[in-house]
Amino acid sequence: MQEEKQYSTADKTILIKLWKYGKPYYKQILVTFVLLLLISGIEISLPIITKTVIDRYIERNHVKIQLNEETISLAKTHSFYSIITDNALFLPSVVITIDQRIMLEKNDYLFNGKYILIETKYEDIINKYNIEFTKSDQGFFISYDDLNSIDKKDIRIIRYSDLMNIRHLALLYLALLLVSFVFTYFQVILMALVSENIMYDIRSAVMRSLLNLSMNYYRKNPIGRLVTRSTNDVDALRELLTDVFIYSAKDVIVIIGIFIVMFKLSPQLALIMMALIPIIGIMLFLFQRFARDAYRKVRITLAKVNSFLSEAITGISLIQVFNQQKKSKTDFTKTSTDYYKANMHQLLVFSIFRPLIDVLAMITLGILIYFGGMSVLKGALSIGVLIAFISYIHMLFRPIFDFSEKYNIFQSAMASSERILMILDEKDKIENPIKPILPSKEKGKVEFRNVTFEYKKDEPVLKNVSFIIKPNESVAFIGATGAGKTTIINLLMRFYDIKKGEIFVDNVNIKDMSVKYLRSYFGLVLQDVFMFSGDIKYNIALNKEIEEEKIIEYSKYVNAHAFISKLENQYRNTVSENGKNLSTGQRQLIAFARALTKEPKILILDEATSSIDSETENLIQDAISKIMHNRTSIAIAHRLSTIQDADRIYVLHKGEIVESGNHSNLLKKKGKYFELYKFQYIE
Amino acid sequence: MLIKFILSYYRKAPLRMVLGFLALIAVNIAQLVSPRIVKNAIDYTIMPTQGANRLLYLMLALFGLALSIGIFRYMWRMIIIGMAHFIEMDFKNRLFNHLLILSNKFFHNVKTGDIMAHMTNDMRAVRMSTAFGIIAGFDAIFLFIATIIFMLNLNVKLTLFAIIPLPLISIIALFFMRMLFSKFKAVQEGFSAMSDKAQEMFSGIKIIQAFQQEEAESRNFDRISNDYLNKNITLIKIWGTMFPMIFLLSQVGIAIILFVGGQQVILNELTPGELVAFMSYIGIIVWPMMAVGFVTNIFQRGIASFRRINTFLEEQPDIKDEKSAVYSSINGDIELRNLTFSYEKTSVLDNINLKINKGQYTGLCGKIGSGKSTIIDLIMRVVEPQDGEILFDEKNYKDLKISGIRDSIGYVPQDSFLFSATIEENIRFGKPEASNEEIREMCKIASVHQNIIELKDNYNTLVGEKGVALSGGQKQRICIARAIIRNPKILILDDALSAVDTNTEKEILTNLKKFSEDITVIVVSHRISSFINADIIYVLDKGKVENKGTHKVLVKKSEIYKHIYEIQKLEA
Repeated sequence: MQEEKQYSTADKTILIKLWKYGKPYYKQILVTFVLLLLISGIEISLPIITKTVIDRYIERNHVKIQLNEETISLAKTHSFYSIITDNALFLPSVVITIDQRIMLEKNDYLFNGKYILIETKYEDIINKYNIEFTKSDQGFFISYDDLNSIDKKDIRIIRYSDLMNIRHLALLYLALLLVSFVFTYFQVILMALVSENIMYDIRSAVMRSLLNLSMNYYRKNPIGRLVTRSTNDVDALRELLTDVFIYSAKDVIVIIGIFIVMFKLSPQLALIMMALIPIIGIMLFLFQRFARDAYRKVRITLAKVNSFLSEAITGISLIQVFNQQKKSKTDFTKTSTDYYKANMHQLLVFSIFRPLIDVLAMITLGILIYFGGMSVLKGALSIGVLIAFISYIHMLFRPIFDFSEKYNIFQSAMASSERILMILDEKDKIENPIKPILPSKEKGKVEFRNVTFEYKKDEPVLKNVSFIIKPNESVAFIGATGAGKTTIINLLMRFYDIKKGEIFVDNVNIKDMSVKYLRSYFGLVLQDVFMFSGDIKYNIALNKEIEEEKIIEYSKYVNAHAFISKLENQYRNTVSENGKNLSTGQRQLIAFARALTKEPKILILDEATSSIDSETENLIQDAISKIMHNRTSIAIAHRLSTIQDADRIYVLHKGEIVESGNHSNLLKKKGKYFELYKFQYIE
Repeated sequence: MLIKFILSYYRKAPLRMVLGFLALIAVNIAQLVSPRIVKNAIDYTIMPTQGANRLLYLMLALFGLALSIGIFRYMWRMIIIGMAHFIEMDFKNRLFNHLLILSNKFFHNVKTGDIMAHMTNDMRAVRMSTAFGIIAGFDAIFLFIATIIFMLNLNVKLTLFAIIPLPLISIIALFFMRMLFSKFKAVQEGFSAMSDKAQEMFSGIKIIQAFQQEEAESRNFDRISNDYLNKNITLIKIWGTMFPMIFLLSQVGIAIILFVGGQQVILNELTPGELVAFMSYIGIIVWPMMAVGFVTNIFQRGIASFRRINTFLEEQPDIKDEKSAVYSSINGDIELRNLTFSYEKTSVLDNINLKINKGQYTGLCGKIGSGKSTIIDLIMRVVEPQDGEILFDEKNYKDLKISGIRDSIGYVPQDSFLFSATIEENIRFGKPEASNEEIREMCKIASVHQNIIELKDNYNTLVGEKGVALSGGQKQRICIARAIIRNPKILILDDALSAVDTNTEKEILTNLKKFSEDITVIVVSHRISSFINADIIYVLDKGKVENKGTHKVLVKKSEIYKHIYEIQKLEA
């Protein structure tokens, strides 16, 4: 099993490097955070509204205290709230501190029960009932219990202001919700814009980096992998940017905010809640360890199932022809069972952890109602605060549930980031010279001087190869597969850099030219003509701005116009995937036109080997002789006609030039060329 | 249909499943009981009526409740979700086993990517239905009803007010989920457009660099990438509205409770504890209301996926044994008599007659599309002819079991396909019970033993997609070893020596003769060198035999053969 790297937030280098892409959006990110702060603020303040409704308007009660020297001082400390009547001091229950209450209870200064203040104007109503009341300059105090004996209709009147205030607060609650909704909407959109733009930028950078890497890099990395890097891996950042960073930030803000509010409301209860933190911490730590392994196993086994499947489907005919269905069946059952087991293991981890958090949350609730309830009974805590705490517990546990998911996202996103950064930092590039040199005149002369090259260490493909191609000369390279023909082109166009020897184009070392300038010299026609998805015109002009007439002119020149004009949409005809709707020969002709659009000084032709119908074959031969005219041409030749027409033929054998000359000279020599021509098929 | 399918699995472990759903019910009820305990605690603190240990009891009750929620939740998760995983595995196995019996024609019409999509995406959609869908559906009904009952039990008037915004949650979830799905599809399309473009660019990297199109093509990519960006934003706009809206509506419920319930407390119609309990119930009931939207969507997708998978399972192979067919190995005489085969209305073989004798080295030559590969497919019973017959040892092919014919054939495919496994395992694929010595011996015959032992892990070297990059010639020779280890009567080389140099080719063919005197070898090739020593070569053209004979004869007699020979003289 492959060991996967574990990332912690301490992997700062990755994050710092990534920040480069976040930086341009720092203003938007800042706004997002401000919005998050506001949303969190609203979220935290909602339970406070509930608390206020309950404490200030529903449970609006006073305690009655004997009036004496000691309690007078109490009245002074709470001078704003205290109401003094003939024989007693009334104080709202919520303002009395626990110490004061203990003092009052110890000395038996406290009257039993709770009292509620009724405004003086409702005296008539109170008088209707046989209720004891204490008059004060601010109204009557009646016992809370006596409220039960008053008609509902009358309660509506005497507690009119309480009812109105509750309505107002409920509406405020609603208003805050609406504000929060609007903020959340904008925050989500803004965050999406930022993260999507960052990903766009990264994709763009990855693509630009990849396109400028040398062929050597492409030889080592399968295309599928590069596609994954530039698309899937970048996509993995989305969740890192949103779910992990932004929402974790929000979670932290909310948790801190809640604790601040809790400490303000009741330090004792808040401390009890604080005791939870280490317990949750240990649980998360343990969970994270088990979940990580489980998650990894699921991923590995799933990858195995999928690769087994795709391979079995590709090789299905082989399985059938070899009569190995039974074996495949058992093998597949085994891999899918492994995947099932891994899933069950992960399920087990989650089935223990998730309910455990539930259990913990409810136990916390139990502890809260016990200790909180006791405090309320003692009068040390208002009922509203207890209720607010209950709401906060729910809010505190929510982020913990999400933790597991975020952790997994973080892990895979970090792995993706690392791979992306590796591409962005990749050094396998063809370097431009610091001071590029231009040839004095563009003629099309090529020289290889003692060039030795190897793709893999100690497996030289070219050994000390030297030759000169004069301007306007046409040259053909022949030799077996692996003799080094294609390598010559690769080196000349600087798809690879040589370590030993020198290559000159118009007497300038190609390493001293800018890569762009050098490549502008060549018109390249490859064996397998590569077709882009798009129309014919696009495939000829590639992104260059070329007038339609010019394109037609080129196409006519290389005998391509005839078949193109027969297509339904002519030059606008779409080319299907890999040009499947065109024949090999037609693709060749298009490639000629494509090469011509560059008006190259040097034409490079890697002839196709596949058989082409004779009609097109003639068109191609004709086109080849035309496009070779009046320019230097280098052909990796397979057609007898191309070889025969060449000014000079180089015979390559195991990385060395063994013979050169024109067709008739070489035949006369009776050497390797003669041998090839007469008896052998060049492999 | 999907439900029936799920139930068929539930029926296999009825007790267990009943237990799972009872646990789910238990958790739901326990969840609803806890606000009542909190309510009692709150009301008690306001009006202490009984002894002071009341709060202690309530706390202990919550502890008990917590424990039972923990246990029951563990139970239903393991049972119901576990079953969903089991269903997925079993369903995947069934689909795979079915794929194994489908014939060439099917795989010709269906792309590997599509089958993979069924195996991954569709399977996931089905699993979502069997796990999340079932649970959410259950909750949507049971939890909804139970919560309403608990609420009504506390206060009818407040219940009626509090549930006003609830139907809106379902409607929004339903509405947005549908939109979300279509936008999500658009995002996926955008993503694959981007992947396709990247794939294209990397495949054409040489042309891009040679024509200095790096910047221009990057801009083209950016354009597609930008389109993907916009599609994502559209998607996010939808869920960015949906979830805050659902949250908003659930909180509106609480605002209503505050508004109505708060006044009710003052009017003595409601206790403060009940007020708090109501707020909890609203928090609980939001989920079943949302679940209605989710469940509909999940099941819609699950059913669609289930249907797609089932059409695969209903697919019948077009090549099957006749009832009367007997298993018998064959000796190597093959004859195609008046045989016609066409592929989707294009004629491939047109009333062809061809005879291959036991022990003969036979060549099949011709251009692409001339029908040579089809002849091989017919012999291997991979395709079925429309007309005419194939005779093995003068017996009609329909009288023989397919497995018997295939067991007598050693096939070396054109693409030298190797599995991602070690070399040894790949060769053993031809004969699972083969000994190590046997494998080595075969590799010697295929002239690849020397290459293998030069590798670092020799026979244990991993090959295939993830393994060591072997040369084309090495792969072809391993494939030959894999074929001949079956000790076949007929060896078919489907353009299988193209990457082997002519000397090694000769060596292998000589070894083969030594290995088995009377083996019939059929060689399909583009290379004249493969035919020089053939006993007979059939030159095919447009589905007909243009000529037959030995190399020497054909060079003179056959226009096509001669042409190929001429071209290849200097070909590389």
